[in-house]
Amino acid sequence: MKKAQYLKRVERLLPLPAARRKEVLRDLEELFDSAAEHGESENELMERLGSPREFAAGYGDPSRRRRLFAGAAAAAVLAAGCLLLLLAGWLPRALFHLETAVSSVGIIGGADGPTQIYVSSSASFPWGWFLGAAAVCCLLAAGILFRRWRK
Amino acid sequence: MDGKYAQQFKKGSLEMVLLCLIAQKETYGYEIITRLNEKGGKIFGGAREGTVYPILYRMEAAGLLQSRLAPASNGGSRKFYALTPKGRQTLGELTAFWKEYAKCVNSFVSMAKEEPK
Repeated sequence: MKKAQYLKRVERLLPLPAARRKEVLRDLEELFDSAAEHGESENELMERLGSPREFAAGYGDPSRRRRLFAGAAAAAVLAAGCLLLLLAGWLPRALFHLETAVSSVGIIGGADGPTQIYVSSSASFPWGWFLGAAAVCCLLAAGILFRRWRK
Repeated sequence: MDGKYAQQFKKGSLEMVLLCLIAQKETYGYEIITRLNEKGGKIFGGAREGTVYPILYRMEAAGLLQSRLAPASNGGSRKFYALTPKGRQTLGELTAFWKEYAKCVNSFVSMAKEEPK
């Protein structure tokens, strides 16, 4: 493997946010320069560093980073889904040409204040509040996971 | 002996050892590894950048080390590490603990060498 390839591989594999990645790559470049200065060949240095994967692994667990991002994305999608359902329940049925599962629930009296969305089968489950609360929780979770991913 | 036992020992002391090296004078990555391998002989002789560098980052983030970038003769840059006052204090605490620790462990070790009664 040549130096440029090694650096590129490490860059792709580093489980770090962008700014930290740049720092590590600068350090790696410095290592190659220092090695040359001290008469060590690029190959000898790369032998000592280990494979790009081994070197990058010292900086953290790449799968953990992937899980954080996936979790944040999933929570964001869930939040969006809850909000969409919420909106679908609030908008007047007249705007929908097709009966959706939630719009078939309908708004009693078309009031514009917060109203209870009633499911036809059960008496009075407060879907609106539930979906709203779920959306907020999911957004919070997404935010927290995303912050951790950033770090 | 399974290598993982030695690993445990080394993991516990590498931070202190690195602080000792940097305490002597401002130094840079490659030099740290070289001196570690020279002085470390059989124990730390195989120390690798992939192990040492993340520790240097952690210690800098914890405020024990400070770094400065200086232009290097070959056109690139060179990062010099030095101890912060907090780093010096922590090193003092670590070495004091190490002496206590070594004394205690040695007493158990000499117990094992005694003839069983």
